Amino acid sequence: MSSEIRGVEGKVMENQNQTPQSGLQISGNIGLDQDGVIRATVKGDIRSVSKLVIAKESVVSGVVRARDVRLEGRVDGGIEGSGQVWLVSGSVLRTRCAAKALRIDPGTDFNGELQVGE
Amino acid sequence: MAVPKTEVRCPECGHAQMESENFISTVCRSCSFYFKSSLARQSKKRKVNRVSIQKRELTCADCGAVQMVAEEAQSSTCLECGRHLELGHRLIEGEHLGNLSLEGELQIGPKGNFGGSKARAARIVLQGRASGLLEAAEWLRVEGQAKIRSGGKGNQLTILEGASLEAGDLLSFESGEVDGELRCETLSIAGMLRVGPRGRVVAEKIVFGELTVELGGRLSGYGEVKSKPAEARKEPASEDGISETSLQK
Repeated sequence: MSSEIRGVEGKVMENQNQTPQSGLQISGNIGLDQDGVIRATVKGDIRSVSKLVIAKESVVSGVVRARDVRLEGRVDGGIEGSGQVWLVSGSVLRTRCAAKALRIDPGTDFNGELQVGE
Repeated sequence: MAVPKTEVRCPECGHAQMESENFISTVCRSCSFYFKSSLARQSKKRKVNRVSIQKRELTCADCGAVQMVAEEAQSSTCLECGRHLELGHRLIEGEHLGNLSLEGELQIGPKGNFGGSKARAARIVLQGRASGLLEAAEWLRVEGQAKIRSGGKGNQLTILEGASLEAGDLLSFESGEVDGELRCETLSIAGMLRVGPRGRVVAEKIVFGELTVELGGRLSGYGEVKSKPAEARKEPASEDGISETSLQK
């Protein structure tokens, strides 16, 4: 089943010059009730009760809260995972990362507070 | 008229060769040992048994020079820099004052206290306390409730399940495996830091090349990935975790 974006509290606009691949820029918060992949520039927070992938070159300015998170792009506001969080090589996170289990690959640009299993 | 010859044996290596009956001295054609005829006659019944000595390679901790030493040697001197090299193992069960440098294993027992400013060994088993810096060329393994007043460095840091280490200063290692508890000011792991399901790491600053905290493991502190500019960025494998493809199913 494909991912779904619902409950956007802002506006969605197309901008080919500023966003990755799809060119999608989302201003506002996003809530997902199933597994999802974000390929966009999001100016806001993302909340998910399931697994979430922030794809390569995607940028999230707010906080990402989900059960499991795989970060390939960039998150500015921090990640709060209630399950596993995986920061892959090339991803950028410079604020906070909280999770039950964590994996950070070499080549990740991470700098910030770590709270794992606490 | 040909001079009659006789068989003589080298007193050094036992090699037999033919010499003139009235020879005064000669050189062994096997080992080049120079010997006189008197010695040669005595050696007729003498057979030299050369026991080959097992040797091993020894690298000086200071200058890195390599030399061969007997397997059972307890100490040696570096041929390059003259440093005294203690090759055996050492167990500290009480108070030990003064610095230590071993090429073998250092064990600081549960009631042991290393009071010197620096101890260096190939392998260190820590069950007690240390005031000075501990440097383990191969590994430092924490097995008991241990404390290091200053810091430690070396190749691999291992904290076994049920063990704990409290360090007052920097711990700097190439890799780390924490299945027990670790508290320190700064933890710097150049390569992989793994925190097992029963492991716990509390540090003000944690620098690492890569990090895995398994489910059940705990870690808190300010983290930073040690940058390796020369390292090629690989596309991560996605079969054993959260993969985009698995999400799209």
